[in-house]
Amino acid sequence: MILLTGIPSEPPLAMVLGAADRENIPYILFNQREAQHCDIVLENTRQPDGGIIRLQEQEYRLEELQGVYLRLMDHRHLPEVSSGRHAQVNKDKTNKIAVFHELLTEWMEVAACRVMNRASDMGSNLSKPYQAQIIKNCGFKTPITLISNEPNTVRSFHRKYKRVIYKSISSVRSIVVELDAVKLMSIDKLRNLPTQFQAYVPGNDIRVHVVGDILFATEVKSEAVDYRYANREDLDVDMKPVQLPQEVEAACYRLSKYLALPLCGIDLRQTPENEYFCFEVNPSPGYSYYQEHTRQDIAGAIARYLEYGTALTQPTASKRHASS
Amino acid sequence: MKHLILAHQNDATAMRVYTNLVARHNTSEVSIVTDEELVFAQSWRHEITSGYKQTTIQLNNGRMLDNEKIGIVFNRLRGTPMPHFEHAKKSDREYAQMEMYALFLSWLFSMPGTVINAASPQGLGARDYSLYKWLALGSQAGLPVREYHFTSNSRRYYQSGFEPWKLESGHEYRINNKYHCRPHILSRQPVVYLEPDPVQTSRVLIIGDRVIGDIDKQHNGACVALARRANCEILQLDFGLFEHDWKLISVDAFPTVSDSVEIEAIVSFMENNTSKDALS
Repeated sequence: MILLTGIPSEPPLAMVLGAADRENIPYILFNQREAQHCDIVLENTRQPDGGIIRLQEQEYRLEELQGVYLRLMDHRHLPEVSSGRHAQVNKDKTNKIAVFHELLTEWMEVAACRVMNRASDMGSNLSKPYQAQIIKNCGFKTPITLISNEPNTVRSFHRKYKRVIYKSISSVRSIVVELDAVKLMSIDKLRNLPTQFQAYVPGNDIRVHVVGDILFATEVKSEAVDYRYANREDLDVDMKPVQLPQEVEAACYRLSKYLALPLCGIDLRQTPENEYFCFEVNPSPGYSYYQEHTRQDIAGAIARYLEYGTALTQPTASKRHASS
Repeated sequence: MKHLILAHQNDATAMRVYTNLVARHNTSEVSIVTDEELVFAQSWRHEITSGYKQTTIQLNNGRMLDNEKIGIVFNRLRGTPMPHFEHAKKSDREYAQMEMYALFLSWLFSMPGTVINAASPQGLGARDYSLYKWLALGSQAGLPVREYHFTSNSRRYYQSGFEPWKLESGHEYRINNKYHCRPHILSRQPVVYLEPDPVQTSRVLIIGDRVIGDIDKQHNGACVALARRANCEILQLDFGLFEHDWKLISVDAFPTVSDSVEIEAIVSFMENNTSKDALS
């Protein structure tokens, strides 16, 4: 039995729900929109990660779950608690919903079962250069990076590397922008806050989704500097599954293991010289965008990994559940 | 400069460690730098490439921090004060804080020598765990732990013989801030039911492998194991006596230390773990 959490209509969770149904994997669903009707107990009378979760009038022992897929949106933004047409201005209800989410997430922190992914393990991308050092330790090349609040240092960096991009240091999602002559003119604003600059790395983008013991590599072709925003520049994005060299696959698995992220989205770029640079690891990947374009069965792999401890196809699984 | 202490300007523990170190070493080998000095540094230069990482920070008073010259860090940072963004839009202020936090985290992680206690995404200078997480980790490390039932619904999961404490979202239910709830609150609200208060409490301080405090020696190994699990060189554990058994009741990864034996133990730990490769 696995626990799936989030908003069921959100594509990444919807796809895992569909996959679990297709593969006869037993699951329970925590629908965040029903949080006020759910309950949880965390207790240590039996074992440190013991407890009960009560969903749709039914109780389940937490320590008996095989795995959990965490796809929770920020509970403060749920229509049931945020201001607006559906808001229920009830402090107690809001507190109950918040505490339920906090206890559930904290239980996952210490739970012995498989979790995709624990909140604390998802923290590495709070700092891109911090994560870059881990990426480097796992055997990948990373872009040459400078963080500074000194305009002259940045000007020298730009002169040296010719094409330079800048982006946020933290996990705040920012559009990657190239540093051009116009932006260099306002570089003195840097004094107030150090900023991250990187030497531009040319090549094709590859998104790798590691799911436990298997991975899916997707080549993304686009003229945009940041393909996620290609449509804003009226540019096309083309995706197709690709096979990575063995050593690159091995580095992806190392990274997933080191970061304790059995599910992660790794952003690579393959240069014209056939080198692979790693830019970032996304700990809560919106993999559905890639699955929709390529038909790679990432959702099925997630459901299988959580239930069986391996994402490999289970030839006998359907029969076993159908007969039980 | 071999020993670097990073702290808020009012951190008395950091100041005691600094004073003790200065009394034993050349002043050029010891430095204390505040969070505000770092935020307002004249220049930051933090570089990471596939081949090397290098950081130099020029403070406004002329002092230069160079990673290669730092042998050990006593890290007491808690946050990134950004007073110069005080009047900025909330979103800009939050963005600036997150960016500075991300930079501090990366800088501390890039230190070649030991950082006590290492920065992590869960906190710059201390693990900011909840009471539940500390107690569960304590139990997993092999320590006897006070019994608990955290629940979102006090009435449905009522625990006879336990004391209910009101559970509020966020940091409110961490042990220092919790308070007894009155009977009328026991409707269906979140509470933590705890084993009734201990008759006596005792504090233990872990410094590296050393356990300072009055607790049964048979628990020493598990105390150190908990500190290791939390990646903390310095950790305070509080135990309570329940009938005949001592049990873990709370943990503080950012302890206030004033006892001279404990301060000297921290200083000795720093001296014994200073990187020999630090450039002079």
